[in-house]
Parts: sequence; C-alpha cells; structure tokens
Amino acid sequence: MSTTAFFGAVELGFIYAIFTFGIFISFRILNIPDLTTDGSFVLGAAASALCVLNGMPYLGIPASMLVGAAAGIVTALLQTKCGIQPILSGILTMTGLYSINLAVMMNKSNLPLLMMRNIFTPIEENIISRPGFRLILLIPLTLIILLILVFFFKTQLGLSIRATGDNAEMVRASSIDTDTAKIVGFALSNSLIGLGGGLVAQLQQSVDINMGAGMVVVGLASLIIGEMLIKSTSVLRGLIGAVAGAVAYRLVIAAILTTNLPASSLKLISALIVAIAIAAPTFRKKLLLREQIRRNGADHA
Amino acid sequence: MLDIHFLSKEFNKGTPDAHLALNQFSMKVTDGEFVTLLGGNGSGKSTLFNLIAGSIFPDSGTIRLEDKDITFLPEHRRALLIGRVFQNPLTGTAPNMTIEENLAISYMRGTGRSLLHRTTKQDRTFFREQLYALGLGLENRMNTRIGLLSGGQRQAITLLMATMVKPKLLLLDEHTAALDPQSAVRVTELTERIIAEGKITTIMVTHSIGTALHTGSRLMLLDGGRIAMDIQGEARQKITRQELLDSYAH
Repeated sequence: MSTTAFFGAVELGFIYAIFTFGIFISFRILNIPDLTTDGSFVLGAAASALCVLNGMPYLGIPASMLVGAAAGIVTALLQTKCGIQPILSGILTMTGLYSINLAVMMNKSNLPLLMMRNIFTPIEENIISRPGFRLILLIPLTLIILLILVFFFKTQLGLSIRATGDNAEMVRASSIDTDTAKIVGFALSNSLIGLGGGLVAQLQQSVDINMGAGMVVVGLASLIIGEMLIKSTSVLRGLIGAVAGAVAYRLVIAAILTTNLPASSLKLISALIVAIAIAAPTFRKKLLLREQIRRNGADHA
Repeated sequence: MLDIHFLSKEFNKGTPDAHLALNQFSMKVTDGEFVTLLGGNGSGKSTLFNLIAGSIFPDSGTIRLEDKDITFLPEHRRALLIGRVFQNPLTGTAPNMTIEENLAISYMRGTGRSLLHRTTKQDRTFFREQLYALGLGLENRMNTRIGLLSGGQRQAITLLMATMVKPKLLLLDEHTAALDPQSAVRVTELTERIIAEGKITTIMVTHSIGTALHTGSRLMLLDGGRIAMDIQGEARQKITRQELLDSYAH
C-alpha cells in the first residue's frame, strides 16, 4: 500500500469513527437497529456541500449535525408517538429522505466540490500538505467528540438513555420518560452520522445521492471489528473501540483495493464481515458442544 | 394517603372472554399503614397494582394519592410518588449498568436536578451509606455491573432504589417469590426494616398466608375484584390460618 493510500485510509477512518459513534449509540446503547443512517448520512453530506458551495465550509459542521439530528428525531417520533416498529420507522425516514436529499442537492444526483475551499484547505495552505495532513483537524475533532460523549453518558440524561436501552421497564418505574430518552438518543446518534457524511463530502470533494447505500452495514462492520479489538465494557471503551474499528476497517478496505478485486465488490465484503462476525459466536458454541459430546462419548466407551 | 373510589376495570370488553377484574372497588390506606394483600389467581390483585402504578388505566373510578388525582397520570410521572418492586428480580435494575449508575437513576426521582447533573462525591457517599445499611457488602462493589449480582442482591438493590427517595406509596408485588428461601428471608427482613424506619405507606401482594399474617399492620383479602376481608388490630391478631384459607371462595 502506498503512503498516500495509507494516510487516505486513516483520514477516512477518523471520519468514519465519528459516524460509528452514531451507530454505537443506536445499536449498542439504545439497543435499537436504526436504519435512518443511510439517509441521514447523505443528508449531512448534502447540507455540508451546500455550505461549501456558498463559501462557508465551517458552517458545514454544525449544519450537517443539525439536519442529521432532525432526521433522527423524525424516526424517533414515528417509533414512540406513532407506534411504528423501529426498523420500519428507520426505513420510512430513509426512503423519504431520498427525495429530500435530492432537493437539497438541487435535483442533481451528484455535486462536485472540486476547486472549492473546504475545512481542510487552510491546513494544506498554511501548515503542511503531506499525505495525512487532514489528521491535524480530524484527530482532535474525533477526540473532542469522544470526550463529550463520555461526559454526556454520565449525566442524568445520558444515564436515562443508557437505561432505556438496557431495561425500559425499570426506567419507567424511575420517573424517566422512555420516549424522551429515545428521541434525544436518536437525535444525538443521527447528528454524528450526519456529521460523518458532512466531513466525507468535504474530504472527497463531492456528494453523490447514493453514497449512503449500505452505510448501516459499514458502521456495524466497524463497530464489530472494534469490539474484537477492544472489549466493550463501558461507554468509554465502546467509543475507543469504535475509533479503532473504523480505522481498521478503512485499512482493510484500502488493502483490498490494492489487490485485483474490483472496487464494486466492497459492499459484498462489508456485508460478509458483518455476517461472519455476528455468526462466529454461534458457530463457536456449536463446535464446542460437538467437541464436548465427542469427548463424553469417548469417556463412556 | 391513598384513596381508591369505585374503581372498575374490565378486560376484553364486549367479547366472550370479557373479564371484570375489578368491580366498583374502593379502599383507603392511611399514612404509614402497611397493608398485606392476599387473593387467589385472578382475584384482581395485579390489576389493582397496575392501576395504582399507572401501567394500565381504569374504565371508571378514581385513584387519589395525597389528595392528588392520579387516575390518568402517565406511569413515569406517577413514579415520582410511587416506588414499586416486582416479583422478577431482573425487572427493577439495568443489568449492564453499574450499581452506582442504577442508584443514580433512581435518585433522580424528585431531586429536581438538571438533566446534565453528574453523580457527585456527596451522592456517592450517600449511596455507599445506603448500600452499607443493606448489610450485603455491596458498598465496596459500586462499580460492578448489576447483571453480575445474584437475584437476592438485585432485589435488595431494587428495594433500595424504590425507597431511597421516600415514596408516598410503596408497592411490593410478591417481591420475594422468585428468590431462594434464604434470600427471601433476608429481603423480607430488609423490607420490614426499611418500611419501619421510613414509616413508608406500603401495600404488599403475597401468596404466603404466613407472611400476610406476620408482616404489616392490616390484612386484605381480594376475591373476584372485591374486598372479601379487611382486618387489622385485634381481629388480625386473632385470626387463624384456617379461617383465612376458608375465606378464599375458591
């Protein structure tokens, strides 16, 4: 792998780390599979692209977070106030967002942002322009978000959200409104997913209406790889795992790209990583049981 | 005090499976009273508890607690006034969170703190004292995940969580029934001590006639959604196990 490819993967890895924080909040903390992701990721990217096109790249950071949060709130309301199943709520928002995303992108399926100033331009011009220069911005940003999240999940509101995912019945008996906890959790989760999309747009200098397809799987793959690297026993460890997993995932993808495999096979590979990782414990259990039965049989013989 | 007035609840209304769980049910519980509630399966005990706690709502009638009408108050808002411990020890605590975090969640009740408040040193000292009083050695395991504790330990913590901020009313729903005999005795002792110390108004559902007779200050027997027996003081002292058994209609 070339240096450029390596640093490119690490840069993307830190952006995807922020995105994976969002997946961690919905899938692990709230314990709800949220499929809004594929839509809110593009929505964040589109909002960020508009800011870049209007010469305000930094505004892209809060803008992509805000629109992502709004998408999360819609899904949460569908779930809590309208009684629609969690998976379907996410699919509905994601589907609706496709039209909204196109509208935000001024009805173009692709917005190129080349030659436009973005949040990374000042670093390249004033500090260094070697491969990986974007990490000067991305590493601190990821760390700050990680620390804010660790802090937040120790507050009363954060504890309520965690307990809602862990044992909703207990939470209701503790005077906390589980609906509110879910709405805040989904808003937070999708704001980070939107931010991930917004940063990817500025890094890759383009937005495509289909860039969100399969992002849930990408996020889960990163999360699972992270959990294999760092056992998640607390929010802090879970988030550190998300960073490690996201960077590792991008490096794996970069490594695959150096082989003769076509780039179009990446989605298939991501899906396989998730399927194998989730299936592994089940197969391990079956194998162990078979082994035990065989040994018992040998003892009795 | 708790004032229940002409409360009715029918399930599967208008179908062949219709079941009138509570029928024009009225009862009053005065401050500091400890009621033990007996009754066969289907006598309406659980329905009564779910109505008081707000898990379900009645067809007619009112529930007042401390002169406040709570009949249709949402469950989580009612939880500010009512502490509840369930039969299943897994129900009352969040398994993947630590003892300290679980206590912090229940301590939110009625403290009126901001949503961004974090557990302080004083809070932690208070939790430690409360855990020490349980006498289970849990005060040194505040950072242990609750899921790693035994059923008895979890139920003791649930009890602590329900009473740490003194509730206006404590509902105990056969809370020792799923525990092994030793743990059940320990949790029962703990319950009596906490209730006596805090003078907490309590209703306890139980299937054990012994427990119903020997704990609390008043005994009620429910049958077919109505009160079949309601005794306290001398009458309660005198009644025998057999007389009580005979009062179960079926």
